[in-house]
Amino acid sequence: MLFPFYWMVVTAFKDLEEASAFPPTLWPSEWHPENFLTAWGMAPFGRYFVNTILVAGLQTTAVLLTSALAAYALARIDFKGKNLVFVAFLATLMIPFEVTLVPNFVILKTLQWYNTYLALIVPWGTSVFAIFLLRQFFLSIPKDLYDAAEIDGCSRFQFLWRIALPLSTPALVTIALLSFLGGWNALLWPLIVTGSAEMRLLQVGLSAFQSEARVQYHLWMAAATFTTAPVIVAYFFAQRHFIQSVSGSGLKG
Amino acid sequence: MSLQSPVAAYAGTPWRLPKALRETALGYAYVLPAFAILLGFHFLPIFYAFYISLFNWRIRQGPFVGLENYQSAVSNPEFWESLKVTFYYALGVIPAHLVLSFLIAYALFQQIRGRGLYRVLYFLPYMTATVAAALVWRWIFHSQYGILNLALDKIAIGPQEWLLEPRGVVELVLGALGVAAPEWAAGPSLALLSVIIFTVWHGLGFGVVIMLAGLSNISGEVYDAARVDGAEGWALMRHITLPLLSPTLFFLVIVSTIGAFQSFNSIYIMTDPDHGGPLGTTRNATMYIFQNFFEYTRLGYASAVAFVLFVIVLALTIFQMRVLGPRVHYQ
Amino acid sequence: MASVTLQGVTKAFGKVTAVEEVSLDVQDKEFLVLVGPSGCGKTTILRLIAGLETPTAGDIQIGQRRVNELSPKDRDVAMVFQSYALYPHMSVHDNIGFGLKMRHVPRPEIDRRVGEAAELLDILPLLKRKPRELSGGERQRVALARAVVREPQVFLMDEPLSNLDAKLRVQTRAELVKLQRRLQATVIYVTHDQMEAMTMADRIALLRNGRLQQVDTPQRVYDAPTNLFVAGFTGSPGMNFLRGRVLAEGESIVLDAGILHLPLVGDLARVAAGAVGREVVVGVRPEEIRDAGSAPPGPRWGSFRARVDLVEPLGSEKLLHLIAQGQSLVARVDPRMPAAPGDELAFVVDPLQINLYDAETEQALG
Ligand SMILES: Nc1ncnc2c1ncn2[C@@H]1O[C@H](COP(=O)(O)OP(=O)(O)OP(=O)(O)O)[C@@H](O)[C@H]1O
Ligand SMILES: [Mg+2]
Repeated sequence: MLFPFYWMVVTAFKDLEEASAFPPTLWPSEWHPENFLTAWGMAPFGRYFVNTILVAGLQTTAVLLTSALAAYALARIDFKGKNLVFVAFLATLMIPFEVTLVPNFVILKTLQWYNTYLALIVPWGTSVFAIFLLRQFFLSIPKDLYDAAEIDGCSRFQFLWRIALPLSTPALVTIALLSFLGGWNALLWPLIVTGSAEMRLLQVGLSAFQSEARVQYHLWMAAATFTTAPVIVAYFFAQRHFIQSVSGSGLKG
Repeated sequence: MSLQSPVAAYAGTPWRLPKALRETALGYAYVLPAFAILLGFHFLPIFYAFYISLFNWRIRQGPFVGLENYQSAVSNPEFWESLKVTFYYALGVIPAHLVLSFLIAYALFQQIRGRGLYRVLYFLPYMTATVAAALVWRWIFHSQYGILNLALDKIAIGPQEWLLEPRGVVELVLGALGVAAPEWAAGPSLALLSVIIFTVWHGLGFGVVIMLAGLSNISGEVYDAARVDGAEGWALMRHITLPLLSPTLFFLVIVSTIGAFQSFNSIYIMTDPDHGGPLGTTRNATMYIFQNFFEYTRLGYASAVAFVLFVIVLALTIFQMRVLGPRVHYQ
Repeated sequence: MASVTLQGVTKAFGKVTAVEEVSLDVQDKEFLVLVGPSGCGKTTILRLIAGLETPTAGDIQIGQRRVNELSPKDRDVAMVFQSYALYPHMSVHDNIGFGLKMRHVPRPEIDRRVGEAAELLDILPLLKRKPRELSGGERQRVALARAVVREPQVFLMDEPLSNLDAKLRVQTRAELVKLQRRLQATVIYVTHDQMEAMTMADRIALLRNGRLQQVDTPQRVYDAPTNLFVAGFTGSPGMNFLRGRVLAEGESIVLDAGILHLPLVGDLARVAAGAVGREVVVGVRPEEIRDAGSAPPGPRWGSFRARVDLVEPLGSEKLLHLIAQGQSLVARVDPRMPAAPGDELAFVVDPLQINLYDAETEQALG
């Protein structure tokens, strides 16, 4: 299960000759940490990182805001047509991404958003999964609590902000992690809506690097290592909340 | 009271919309941002895709051609080939994903200690960007320097071409036994199988965590009651575990089907995207759409294929819900 | 503090009418207890007063002011929920102070008032804890403190003691009453527990299927239930009912209830005079069925013989399940009375201590 990680890191520290020796060695005979610098210098990875952090960060913020509001309305506000809205939300889960690829591209061109951050962020500014998860959390907050807060003088928005959201921390952490991850890992969409190298996101850059670095496998692995490391670190910090909320995400039915 | 003027009686109650209306307005205001995005970028584009597919749409909108794009898709063997690859891929990934994640989750569930740590570790691949992970696996599968071939060497199976191998796996296995497989029974290429193996590895953690959650939702008392009633071993699994886990299984089936049908990253990274892998044997529908759209700028044609795919996925999902849905036991 | 008035209040949820035509006057500083079987609309009435539900028809006034359109925030009521509804992510201090914070009370004042409320309820040492680190009784006191700190016009309490163990419940019951006296508060209190209702209430309001049955002091509700339902609901075990007929025998009015033949006297005779010849139901409280051996009967007492079916000793008293001519009865007697299953014993009934109901309308005669 974890072997590929080991192999990635180990190869990243070998030189080309050892990396492509057959049979391969399980432990580098010589350590070459300078591989990372070489790989880093071969493409504008700094720029890729900045772009990606910006895009994934804004995307995550947008997802948290839009899905918290929507989930709250779906869980706690009685409005006409609510069920229909909910079903419509769930139905979008069944739309394969490929169908929307061409039309969205055309739409973005028309909006003159091609090759901008807007194109990278806005279409992914909400998430049905997030709405669903948060709605489950909000529904599990007892109604009495809501009534008590109303008597205490809370408006709906205050209830959402001061009570519902703090009580849903695991879900929020999970959503933040997953949508940041989504932004971090995106390939197809940024590949299509950006044209210039300075708009590239990390994965597009990494995939381009693959052909740029040709057969220097040790550099592939070095680049793969430093592009994955931040996410893995973030995951280790968030995993407690994360597992808890996936486990409690109401998949009971 | 007598001193109270009519005005004072109403002083505390400013004019308001009727409650039901106010609630409705508030509800829509709250769902609006999410709704607008979903509608604008996910829902309406389906119709737009259909519209585009009726034109000879290159970089700009061209002449209306009716269903011509659909006709040329249907008569194009590459299109059928891509559908076949998509189905092979789904059939390879989904059962393996379900069975493996169930077995691992079940094993983890039996032992309490270290469960947390294992969950974290199994989830790790899922957390890793597909591009980076696929890069690593491409390296592992490498036909000349890959560590996999070294390992195979040790167990007396010759080195394989893996990601570069266009021949079907059935063909290869039978070939090794000295039997020639008929062309229709060749099976998915070894290259595609390699991608499938990668995908299963990459997604396993998700399945394990979800299954573990499902397993821990089954109350211990139900097990105890069943044991008192005389169920054990397979009977316990068959009559208690699986039925009570069925909502979880159902969810995973739906989610992984949709996921399998839109797989792109792994194929794009692990096999040569320009040629659809060795002899086009890893060019799935998504890749086919991407190529027509992005490389040949045949937007109309790409939309037609995408629309067909959409209909297939929709039909499949509805079919799954119809057939599997009623067998799900909700607690 | 303020009075609360409901005028013809009805609340329907779709087809279900939870509260129907309820008119109720709760005095300033009164402790009113709402009782009734499960699902009769008690919680709904509290929620209507709090403003958590809007009445389908009728008016609600708090302190002479019509509050129908007012949001809960502006009604100046506090509610103690059955589940306590403490905010799980806030400390005890923040839980208590939350309502004040929402009303923009300055911080130092919040702290002072939270301190006072906590002292009153004896939870000062708990202020820093989270609700999950409290016992049931402590949580309940936090919920009370949260209501007290607001110094509202009206307290609404929905079975606040139901999650406590028996001993704590008795103890808290007394504390609550003292608290109400001290705060001079108007309290509307819902309970399932007859003891609570009897001991705490200034007046009891009894509900059935959303309709008000009787509003009166506990003693009056116990002694003179206005209809068969109230008679059967109050007391534990409930009243014994016998079918019978009112007859005129010369000058006197007589009740003939099969096993029991009673001359009617006083008020009851006057009331029953209008029902001569009609079917009635006689209600006799278990403690009014007395052992003929130990209680020397008055001159006009009725008597009957019954077989003991089951004996339930309760320590301070004893319940006898009796069968007389196929009719089941329960008597509450002195624990020292010798009685064993199978015994044939004589019992007497004081004609002044019975209640008569019209068999058809189920209403008290008169
Ligand atoms: N929101 C609602 N929607 C539909 N029906 C409701 C609603 N709230 C209450 N009811 C119905 O109204 C009736 C009265 O409910 P209420 O909660 O007031 O009863 P209660 O007297 O408090 O009962 P309990 O003693 O069990 O708490 C019940 O029949 C209930 O099913
Ligand atoms: Mg209730």
